[in-house]
Amino acid sequence: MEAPQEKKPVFFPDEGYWTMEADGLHLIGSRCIQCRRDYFPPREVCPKCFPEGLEHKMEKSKLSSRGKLYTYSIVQVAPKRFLPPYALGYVDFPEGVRVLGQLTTTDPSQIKIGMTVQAELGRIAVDEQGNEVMSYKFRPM
Amino acid sequence: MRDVAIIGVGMTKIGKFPDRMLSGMGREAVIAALKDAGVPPKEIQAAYSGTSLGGALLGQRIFKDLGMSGMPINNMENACSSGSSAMREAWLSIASGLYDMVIAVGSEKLSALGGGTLPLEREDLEVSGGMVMPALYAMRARRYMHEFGATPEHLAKVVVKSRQCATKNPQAQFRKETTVEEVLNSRMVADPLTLFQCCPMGDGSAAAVICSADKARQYTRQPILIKGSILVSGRFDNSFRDMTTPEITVRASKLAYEMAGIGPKEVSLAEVHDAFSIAELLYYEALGFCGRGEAPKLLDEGATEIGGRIPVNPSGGLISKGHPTGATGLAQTTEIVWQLRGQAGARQVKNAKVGLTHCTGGGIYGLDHGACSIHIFAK
Repeated sequence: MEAPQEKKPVFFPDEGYWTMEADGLHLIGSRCIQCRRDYFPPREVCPKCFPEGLEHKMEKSKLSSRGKLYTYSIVQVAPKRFLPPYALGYVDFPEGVRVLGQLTTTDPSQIKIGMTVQAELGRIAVDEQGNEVMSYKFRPM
Repeated sequence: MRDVAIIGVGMTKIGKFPDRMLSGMGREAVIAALKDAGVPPKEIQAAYSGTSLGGALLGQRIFKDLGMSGMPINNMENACSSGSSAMREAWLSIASGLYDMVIAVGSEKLSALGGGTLPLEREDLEVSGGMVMPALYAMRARRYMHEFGATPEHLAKVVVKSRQCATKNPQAQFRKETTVEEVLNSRMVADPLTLFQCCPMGDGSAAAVICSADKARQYTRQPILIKGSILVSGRFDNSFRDMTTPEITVRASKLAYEMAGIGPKEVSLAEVHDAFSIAELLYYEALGFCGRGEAPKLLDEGATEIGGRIPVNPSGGLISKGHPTGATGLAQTTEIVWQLRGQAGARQVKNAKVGLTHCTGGGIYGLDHGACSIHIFAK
């Protein structure tokens, strides 16, 4: 008889997209060697330099662990795998990058546009096998 | 590029028709448009079929059973802009002189997908993280309210106007009037957007017969000229984009006005992409009907009602007429053509001379929208 499948967390997109340091979670993106712009998620081509026919090599870059909340919404209706309700927000990082992520709370009294949020790891969904999907989330500070 | 005209339009009712085939609805719209044009089907030299989720070879599935086969059939997908993209390619094929007479049809059967939100491309990072279309628009609404002091009541008023127009539209999905209170008390989908503020899932099809302006005179004394036809894609931006200024619409409308040789003041009426209540407010501004942050005031003044100075969505728009995604661009076209011909019945806009349709498509990370197509029509 087969042993029941053990449920273990899966990481999304994968653990190469962040690094855990003393001051918290930092998302890992790319910076263009030519124009010095930062991007997240990481990539191999600079969308600004490539169409202009310029050198567009990318190097790894690290975002700050905290950003500012640009806007948000508490989602009630969504695919089941995201376990609604959940809160989504766009976070602006000092490196000039905006990232969409789930927040760590759905309590509207704790969420305000312009507030500082801290990146951390948390559950964002469950997959078809019932495993928890772990990814970057943002905690209101 | 030569002048292009629409000589026939037709559409199905919009609603939930799970027992109807998608291609069957497409055929109904095609037959209606051909009849309206008075054109023998064998005169059609090519077809452009738009659908976002209708599957492979929908064009062939629609036309083969009408015996309209063998000609070039182009199947187009640009998410919710699929129908207007089909319209645009049809225009291009005539303007360039490649063909003299073609047909564009947009069709969708969302009732086949079950309930819930529109399924999005899971390869997209944001979609895999929990993004859904209502949430995208909800975040725009939240930011707009933060910057300009608009209230949930303003959002609800868009829906009240929408339903009121739709009571006069026999093709519309939702034809019952509503109140600000009823809108705000409907189920929360993604705060601050409640159910009534979201366009419904529905089914339907619309089609247009398009030909050179010269040829049009053989068939009708009321050709509707296509003065502007624009398609653009969203500009990729990973940085601090202003989410209250829909850049794709601002850009596309500038190009459309330039092409048609007019400005926003010359537009008699517009059918815009009100997928959610906030969208209509943002598009008043992006299309140049009022200044930044002034949309709620424009709505409050009654300027965008059927009797106002710039009627917007007299058909009931996506919110009340419905939004079978791939059909929408051509359903908007059908409404404008009826209006310009004086055939819009109880929702007729007086002195309609110039009409604008505005259609956007899709949400993917990094873009305002995937696509935007704007057309300008004139008598």
